[in-house]
Amino acid sequence: MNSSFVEIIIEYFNQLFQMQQRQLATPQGKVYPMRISTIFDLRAEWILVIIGVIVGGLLGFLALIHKYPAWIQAACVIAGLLPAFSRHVVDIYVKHGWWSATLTMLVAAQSFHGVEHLVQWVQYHILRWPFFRASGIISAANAEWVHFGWNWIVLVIMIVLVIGGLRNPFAYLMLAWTIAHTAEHTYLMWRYIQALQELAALGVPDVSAQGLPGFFGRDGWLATSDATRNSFVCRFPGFTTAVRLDVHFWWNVGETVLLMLATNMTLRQKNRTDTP
Amino acid sequence: MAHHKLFPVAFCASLLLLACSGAQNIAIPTPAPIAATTLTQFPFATQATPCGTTFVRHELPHFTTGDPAGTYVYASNGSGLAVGDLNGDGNDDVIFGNIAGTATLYLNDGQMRFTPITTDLTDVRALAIVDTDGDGKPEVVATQRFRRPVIGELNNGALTFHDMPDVFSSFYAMNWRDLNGDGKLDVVFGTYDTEQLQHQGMIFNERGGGGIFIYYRDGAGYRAERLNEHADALAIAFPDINHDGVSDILVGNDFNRRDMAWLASPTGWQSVEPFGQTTENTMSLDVADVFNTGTNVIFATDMKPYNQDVKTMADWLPAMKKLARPLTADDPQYPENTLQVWQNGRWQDQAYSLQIDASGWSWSGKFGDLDNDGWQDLYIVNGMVAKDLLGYLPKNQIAEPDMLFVNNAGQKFTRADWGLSDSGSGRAMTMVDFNHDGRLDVVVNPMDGHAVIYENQRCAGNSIELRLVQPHSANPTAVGATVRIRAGGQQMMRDVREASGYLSGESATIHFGIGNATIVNTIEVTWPDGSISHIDNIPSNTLTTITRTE
Repeated sequence: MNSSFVEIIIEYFNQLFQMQQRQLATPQGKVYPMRISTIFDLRAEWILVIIGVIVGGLLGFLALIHKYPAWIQAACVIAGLLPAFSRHVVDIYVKHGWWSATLTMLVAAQSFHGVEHLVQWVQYHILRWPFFRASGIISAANAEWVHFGWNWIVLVIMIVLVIGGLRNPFAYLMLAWTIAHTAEHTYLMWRYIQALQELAALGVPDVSAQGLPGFFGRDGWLATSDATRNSFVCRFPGFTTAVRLDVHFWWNVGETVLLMLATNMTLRQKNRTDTP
Repeated sequence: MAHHKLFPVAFCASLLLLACSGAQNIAIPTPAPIAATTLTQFPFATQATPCGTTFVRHELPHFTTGDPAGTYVYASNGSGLAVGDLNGDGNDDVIFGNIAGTATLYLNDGQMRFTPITTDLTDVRALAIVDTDGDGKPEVVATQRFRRPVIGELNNGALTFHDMPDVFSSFYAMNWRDLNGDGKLDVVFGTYDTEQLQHQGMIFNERGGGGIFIYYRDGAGYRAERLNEHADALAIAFPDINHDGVSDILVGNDFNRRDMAWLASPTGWQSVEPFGQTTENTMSLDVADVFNTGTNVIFATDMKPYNQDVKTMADWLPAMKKLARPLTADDPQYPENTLQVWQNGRWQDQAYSLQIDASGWSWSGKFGDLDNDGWQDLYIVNGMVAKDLLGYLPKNQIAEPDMLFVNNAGQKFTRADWGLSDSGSGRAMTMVDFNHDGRLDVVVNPMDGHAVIYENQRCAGNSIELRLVQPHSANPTAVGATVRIRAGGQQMMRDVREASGYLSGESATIHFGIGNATIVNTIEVTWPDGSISHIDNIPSNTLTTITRTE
């Protein structure tokens, strides 16, 4: 029963993939090769980019003078660029189909997420901000449920893309990495919800359980479990010693780099195949 | 021309270098003078106590409380204890402080029987049994909340207190040592500013605030030197921080006030920050040779749950939210225990890698060889009770089992029970052999609980105990002396100190577990004035008094 259901899903995506392969050649018969740089190439939308920067910048400035938090100012600027990026995705969809458009959104979003973690890392290690302040650009989004939801979405999209043709060693490694990363966030979310329930039972509804240790890193499950204490696992650098911010920085560095490599390899292969 | 001008400078520099290098080459270390001694030995009363595998818990009537209606923060920090032979009968007595109630002295008959003597002393923080005036009769010294320190003398079965001369401030932590080499015991006091500020408001600052003070013994009184103006001192220790052979001063501060250290130097006390990582809320300090290398480590306790399950974390989170203050990434403080180990010319924290970084809401944490195997084990008492801070928990309390970490030949620490995993709210704690059986007993003064003595009935290895006596000195129990022994192929080191851990006075008798060895091959005593005595071939299972004869 289960296996037939999975087969149906895979068949559905395979058909979609074949359909988009056929769509690669536009009605005019022109083939648009897609490279990884295409994903970030907003030159065709330069008018929208300029308008977005101006409007977003103005909104950010208004947020600044009205003393809104820094993350709202940053969000205004980023939101200003969304119309241009949306048109860019639509353009890719028209030229290359749903699979490429989905890949574009994932690569762009994961890159931005990676930058968020990089900013966090810089805030903590370079600027020496306190841990609770080192929350990246959109700091309000640095919440347990956001990370949990984000990683599940990335995992689902990644599965769809692999079924749809993102198939190379980097892609499989990326998929394994994403599954492990999502598992850690699921564990964190499970602990977070349980801790909130415990707090509610104690009559303390206004304290967050954000930031508890996960599998990896300092005070994580590997560091404290009787099964792994004193084992070889503790000898891997950072496995049981890195602070949470570093653990998730490296998770996302790995995820972003593998996604880029997988995308690059697949697009190169596709371009070779599609070129008449 | 330019070369001509440079020549005299180069010549002088060469001469200077030559002189310096020559001075280094011809320097001959001055040998430490040898101090003659006489020995008195008593075999342990090993037959007197039953043998087992655990400690046996004895609850005493003394009950420390911060407030009978419910203890609040700061009062909940509890009260100290001290051990020492107050009545001169050869047995270590014990005094327990109290906050809302009164302190109680228990006179020990050497067979685990204690006679209580009540006092009128309240609001006690640190306690020490120390011979402050060098008359050969120790006194009780107590710091008190919002009052001057007092000195108590035992006369005709009563312990009566008077103000400490020349000391007019209220202090929290204290420790005793001859810090200026005049042979007399000086004292370092530290204030607990956060509590003082809450109690007195800005008046506290307008009156001059607090800080760390040395009171040098001067005639019948004391002469003060103020080392700084702010402190939240819960513990004071005298490790040799820069390994120059001289005791320095280390102060452990509560909250996120950084710990403070001063190096002894010919020009005075030099403030330094010697550690790359420290505790954040330093609750206690202990200095001990736990790896039998002849070098002391420094152990500090902090607040970090041992179990990180969601139930425990939920119990801790609201309190931590109230107490925690933001620390930057370059701040050396981290809320967990630290074990500073001197390696490659610097101190490195190894508590996390040795898995002794988390022991609950920890207070007194101290080393002692509890199983006489030749390696000092680590025992930490913990728990918190406070109506205002922990009102969301049953009994306003975080109750955790006290933590015993057994030292496995200096390689790793493993948790054990041995009947010491009490879930009371421990505060002050020390280790002492009350009944002369050669085994360290443990004594605890908890908060909102009865004082407890854990009688050591683990019949494991052999041991020796040493008492140092300087009869004609103002420091008759040789506080500050270091003893190195060699037995069973191991070298071990201890020092005579008046206080360690959290608000806990120490016995002047020092204890070495020596495993299966039946003889101690050598004993080297470095007296407080630097003189050295060598003693060979001391049989195991004896209490040896080493008396200096010159």
